Amino acid sequence: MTYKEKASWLMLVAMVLAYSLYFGLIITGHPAGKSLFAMLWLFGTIAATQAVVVIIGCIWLAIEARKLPRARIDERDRAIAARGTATFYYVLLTAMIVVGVVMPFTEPPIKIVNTALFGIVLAELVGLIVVVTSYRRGWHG
Amino acid sequence: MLRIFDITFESYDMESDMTFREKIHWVAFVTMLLAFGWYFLAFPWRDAASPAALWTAGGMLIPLTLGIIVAMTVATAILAIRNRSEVHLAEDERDRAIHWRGTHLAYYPMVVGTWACIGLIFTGAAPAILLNLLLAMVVVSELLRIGAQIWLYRQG
Repeated sequence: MTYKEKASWLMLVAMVLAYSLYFGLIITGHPAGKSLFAMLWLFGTIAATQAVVVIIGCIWLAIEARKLPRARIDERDRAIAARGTATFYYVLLTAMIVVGVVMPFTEPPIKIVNTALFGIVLAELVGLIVVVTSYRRGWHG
Repeated sequence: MLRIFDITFESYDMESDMTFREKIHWVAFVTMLLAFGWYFLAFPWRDAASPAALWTAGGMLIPLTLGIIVAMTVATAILAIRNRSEVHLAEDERDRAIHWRGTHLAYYPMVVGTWACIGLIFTGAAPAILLNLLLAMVVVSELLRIGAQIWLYRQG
């Protein structure tokens, strides 16, 4: 695996673990599902922990990648990243239309915030899944 | 040698001919610009903080969405009839590169706008203001994406 592929796997696994915990707590009745500031505190803690884990992991992977013969990002890596970004964009666009244009009519602010966060996480996860499957299937643009 | 000099163009502006994809992008860009331009100009911003403004927005968005769908469908059908040979052409490498570059540009306002709107909810913004800001973010991102793609097609 290249550095980019390993880093994508790391981000994907870290996101699945972190946000399964966050949305799992929301579903089971954590105060973050009812109060904006409880939500901010819980989300902030989980997102910050996930970011620290990903940053440390990426630094370690970058150091390891220097030992490999092909460590630099090439055209295929860029094409796969662009494909992932395009997928992320369309999923987020759809989520934001639902959150911004449909939900204000029926839902309270806290539910809109949590759905918007879910939209961002979902878009990021789908984008990362496209990236790792493109690497695994040998897609080259 | 004379044969080389006698070569003529089929039309004088062959270089500026647009592909079917580019025409579709123009239709989408102009339709969105006109439709949402009208929406944001006609929306009663003075009463935006009132609960009734949300329903005013809803009442404006339903005909607007239907109008966009009808305009896009009719324009696409006309263009498809006039460009039959290009309709079934698969996206080539250049089309894909242009698509990705456009999407990449639109990605930034979309992400920044989403986080800004989430932040706005904490300030207790009225639902109609939130709806309009999220809508504006989506429209700006889409116009940027389609506009960038048109510009890249024009640049060759």
